[in-house]
Amino acid sequence: MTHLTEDQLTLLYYGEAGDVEASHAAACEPCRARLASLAQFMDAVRSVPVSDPRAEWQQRLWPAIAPQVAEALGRRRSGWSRLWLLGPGLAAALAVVFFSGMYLQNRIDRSHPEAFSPKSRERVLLITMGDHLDRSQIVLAELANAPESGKTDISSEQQLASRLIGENRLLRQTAQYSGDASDAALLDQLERVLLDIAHSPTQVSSGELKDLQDRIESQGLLFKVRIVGAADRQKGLKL
Amino acid sequence: MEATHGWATTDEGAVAEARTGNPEAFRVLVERHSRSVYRLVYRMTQNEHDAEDLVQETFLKACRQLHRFDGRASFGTWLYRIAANCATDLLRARQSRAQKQVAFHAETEENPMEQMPSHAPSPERLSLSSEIGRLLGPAMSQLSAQERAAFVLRHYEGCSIEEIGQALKVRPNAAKHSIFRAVQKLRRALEPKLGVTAGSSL
Ligand SMILES: [Zn+2]
Repeated sequence: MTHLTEDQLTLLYYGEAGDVEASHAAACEPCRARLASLAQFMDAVRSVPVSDPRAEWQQRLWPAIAPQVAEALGRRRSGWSRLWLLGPGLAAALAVVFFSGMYLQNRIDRSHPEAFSPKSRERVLLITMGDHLDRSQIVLAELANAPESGKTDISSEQQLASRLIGENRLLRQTAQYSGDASDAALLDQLERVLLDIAHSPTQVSSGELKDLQDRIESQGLLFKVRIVGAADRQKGLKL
Repeated sequence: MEATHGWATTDEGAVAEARTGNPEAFRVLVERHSRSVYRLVYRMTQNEHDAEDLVQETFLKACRQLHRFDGRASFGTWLYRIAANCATDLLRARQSRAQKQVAFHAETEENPMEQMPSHAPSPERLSLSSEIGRLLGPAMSQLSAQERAAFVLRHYEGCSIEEIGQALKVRPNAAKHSIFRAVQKLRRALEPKLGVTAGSSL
């Protein structure tokens, strides 16, 4: 008869062995003795205590991490809630701006000058652009600051990026149509990165994450998105 | 003070509150779990300074990934996974550096176990456990990062092999074999010094 291996005894000790091993151990005196010796050793290893962490370190722990915790939690709260609330409304506003510009400019402006005046259209466009860039900025910053680990799940950022792509395309076309070359260029650069994010695997390796982060930081994209977004919204609100 | 908040009574409540952006709720979680996370990473690294740094890293990572906590495991288990992975990353980085040095000094390399006093005091005078306490650190250093993580999670935290596989993102079979190798290495390293017969030569 074949006796149990050390690995089988280890599984028995942890209660993860099958019935065959258990009934062998029950019937076989030498294997029971080996299990008892393993158990004595393993129990002794478990009983080695870990002394408590230093009291002064425990007191310093929270103050040391509190600013970063507050920043991480605060950014997510303000970011996400605005994102979910404003998403659908913005898309509708944007469609109005876009189509009014493309097709209705000459006809409607003449008959209803107050409804789609260039000023009100510009105001909606600036605010829409500001919010779009602000929301894109949140997604980009999330990824840029994602801690490096073996595999990172970026599914929530991907969902948001996918939603932003359509809006981005409309805004880019609007900027091109109205001859705003610098906005069009920024939106073009942003769109490519959003597409990269949306088309990445859900679980990215640390190398893939690094690639995405490099693209986000390249040509100061994150910085530009942040600055232009804030400026556009300010301008729009003042109009 | 936190007892006055309803959300503070359970981890789930505190997590939900922290997700609304309240750092005080996260503070409750830090205060509740920092010592058990410290014990886990100390057991893996056998080093107080590393353990302190890793606890900090674990909580920062946890707060940045709080939106990914889905409640399938308890918050404590989820936190242990992050901690075990942080410690594994640190050990791996250190071991790969050490290997480069060992390769460079291959001729002069010595087995760390041989540098330990081999004249262990007689088991009659010292209890098995206090003797193991003295020898465990050097013995653990012979384990790979994954072996340490798997062994500590199984042996001290009572995680199942299945759970360990999930935590370390490896197949259950790989987790199981890491535990086997850890047990083998620890017994080979420690039992001769303890005057205990390995009893595994059958
Ligand atoms: Zn047997």
